[in-house]
Amino acid sequence: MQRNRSHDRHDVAMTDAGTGAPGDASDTSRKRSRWPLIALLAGVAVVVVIALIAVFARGGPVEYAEDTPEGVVQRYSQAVIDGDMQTAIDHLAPELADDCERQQPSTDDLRVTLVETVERDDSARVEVIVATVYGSSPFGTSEYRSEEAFDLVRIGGRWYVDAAPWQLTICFDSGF
Amino acid sequence: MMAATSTGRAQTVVRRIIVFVLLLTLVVIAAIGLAGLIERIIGAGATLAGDDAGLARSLAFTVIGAPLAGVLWWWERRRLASDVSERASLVWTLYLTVATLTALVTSASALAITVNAALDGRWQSADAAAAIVWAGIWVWHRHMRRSPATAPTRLPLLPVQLSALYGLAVAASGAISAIAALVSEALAGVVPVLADSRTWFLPVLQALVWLAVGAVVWWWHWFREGARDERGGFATVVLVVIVGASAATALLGLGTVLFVVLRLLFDTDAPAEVLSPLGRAIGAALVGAIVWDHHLQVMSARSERARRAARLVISGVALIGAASGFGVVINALLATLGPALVDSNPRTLLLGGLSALVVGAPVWWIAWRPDRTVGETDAADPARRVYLVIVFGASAIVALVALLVIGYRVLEVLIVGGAGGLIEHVRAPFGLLCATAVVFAYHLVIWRRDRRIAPTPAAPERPTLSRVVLVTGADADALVARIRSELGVPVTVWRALDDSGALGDDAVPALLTLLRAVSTRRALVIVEAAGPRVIPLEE
Repeated sequence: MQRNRSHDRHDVAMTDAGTGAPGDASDTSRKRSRWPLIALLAGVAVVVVIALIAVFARGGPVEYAEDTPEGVVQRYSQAVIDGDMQTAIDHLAPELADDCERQQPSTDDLRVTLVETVERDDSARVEVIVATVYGSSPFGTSEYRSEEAFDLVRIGGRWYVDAAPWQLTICFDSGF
Repeated sequence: MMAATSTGRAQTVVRRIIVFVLLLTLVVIAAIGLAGLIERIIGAGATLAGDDAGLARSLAFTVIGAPLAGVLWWWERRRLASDVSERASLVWTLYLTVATLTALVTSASALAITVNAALDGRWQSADAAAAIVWAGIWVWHRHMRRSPATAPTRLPLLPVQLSALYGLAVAASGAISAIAALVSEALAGVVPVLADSRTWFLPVLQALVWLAVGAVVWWWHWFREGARDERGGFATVVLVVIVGASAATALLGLGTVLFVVLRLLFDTDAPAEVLSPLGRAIGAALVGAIVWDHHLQVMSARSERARRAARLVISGVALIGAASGFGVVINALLATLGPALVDSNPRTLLLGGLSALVVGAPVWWIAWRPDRTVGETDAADPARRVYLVIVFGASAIVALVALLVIGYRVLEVLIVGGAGGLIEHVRAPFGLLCATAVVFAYHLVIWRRDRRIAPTPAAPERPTLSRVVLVTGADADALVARIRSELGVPVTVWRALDDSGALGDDAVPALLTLLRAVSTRRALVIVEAAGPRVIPLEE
């Protein structure tokens, strides 16, 4: 800031020597015309700093309780993505889990975002957005997003996945 | 009379178009036929079962295409040699450009493919034959372009410029691939290769073949055929485009290298995945920078206007990078707010945006120099005005698309429900919208300041003369040159049928005085026996 001001003064001296009075006018107009750039750059810098803090300071997605439909969907999806098939199968409804013919889910990066949950007595539907991330570059990620739904059933007070979106399916065509 | 002339002209143009389209078609047919025949000769040992129908087709194409092309060319050549207007026709230049480029691209790529297959231990006689035949056609058309009897007089270096551009593009992409292959081999310690059907140096050699072919094509046209020293308007546009494209390649490469480094330091993904774009990025950064630097040097000998245009293009490229990067940073910030069940790491997104911003912003600063004092001439510079208008136009389009997506999702939530997915759906367009708003706001301030500083083009006391139409029966080349040099005004000559009324040298100063006194934009000059008559024309 200090440097800036002295720089300005120097310019005033120069223009004054050359043209006299109009130098002042052009200098004030220059000062006036410079603040939008400074303001915008400051705004960009603030956003970048906030983004850095927000992304690096947070631990990960919010963990939902295991006895809620969202919690079951979250654990099931994380297990499928991590390739932990045993945990995933544990979250499937028993009749599906018993005759599950295993299939390999894709290895693309997936992001699952909660849209909403509709809960009834013994069943629930969890709507999600599943984003499949194919690649990333400095200009963002190339991804395919689709809205999908998990169907869940409640058996003995626990929620189980009854139907899952195809990206997160681990059994061949057995009710899925 | 007028109608008869314009009908005659239209007929000539249509005749030329038909003749040259026909000639091009016949040349292509003959080339396909000849290539087929040559392939049979040089690939004879490898044929296991004869394909007689193919032989019949090749023979027919050759026997019918080649003589007809020859006859048509013999006929057209006589016209070109005898009629200057035929050689000055744009259709002739366009034919030469299309035929030369087709021949060059086909033969150069067929040659590179043949050599690459040979390196891999295969002999592809079809590509070798195509390379030979099309090289012959290229030599033939080069002769047409240079022979005094047939050389085009309008845009004569157009094919040379475009050929040099093609050579440069091929050489640059070959060099990038070679560096990419080398780097990925060098990274084998970090990214272990489990199995590979080829020896490691084969991809490098094959890329080097493309580099060599492209470099020869570029060197030949750029230095030997004089594309580098051409100063015309089109040559300048090509130069500015090359500067812009090479700057974009170099900056994208540099941004990706930075992205990879940041991901290695701060991301949690496996190194093999993170490092995969590194080779190509290093290649793009290096090759783009070399091409950029060479053309900046060529540019330094060009007019101030051309250099300013190049700087504005670089500034625009860097601005796109920086603004997109900022948009991605906002996108990443919003990704932390959504109700995610399972996350793909938003760090990757943030680091990508930061790399684009960190590379784009300084280059934009250097090229645009927002801290410099903008003088009256700068503010009134048409290139700067056009740049600002393009920035506004592009911002408006991006903002419109982003707003449509955001509006659709917001209304969907209001009408259908499902508010949880709103952030997920709108974060990318919202980031773009914010970046566009920043860009728009800054340039709006610049635009308004420029308008304030720039000397308002004071409505001239009287409009200056900007075109003279000269009606004369005699040859008027000297007079036209005189008016052009003295008044700096373009002159259109309409030849009168009767050749009375030539203007003597002693009458020219009087005519110039009369023209200087004209207070309209256009004036008609009729040279009569009694002397010149100057008629100012209404707008």
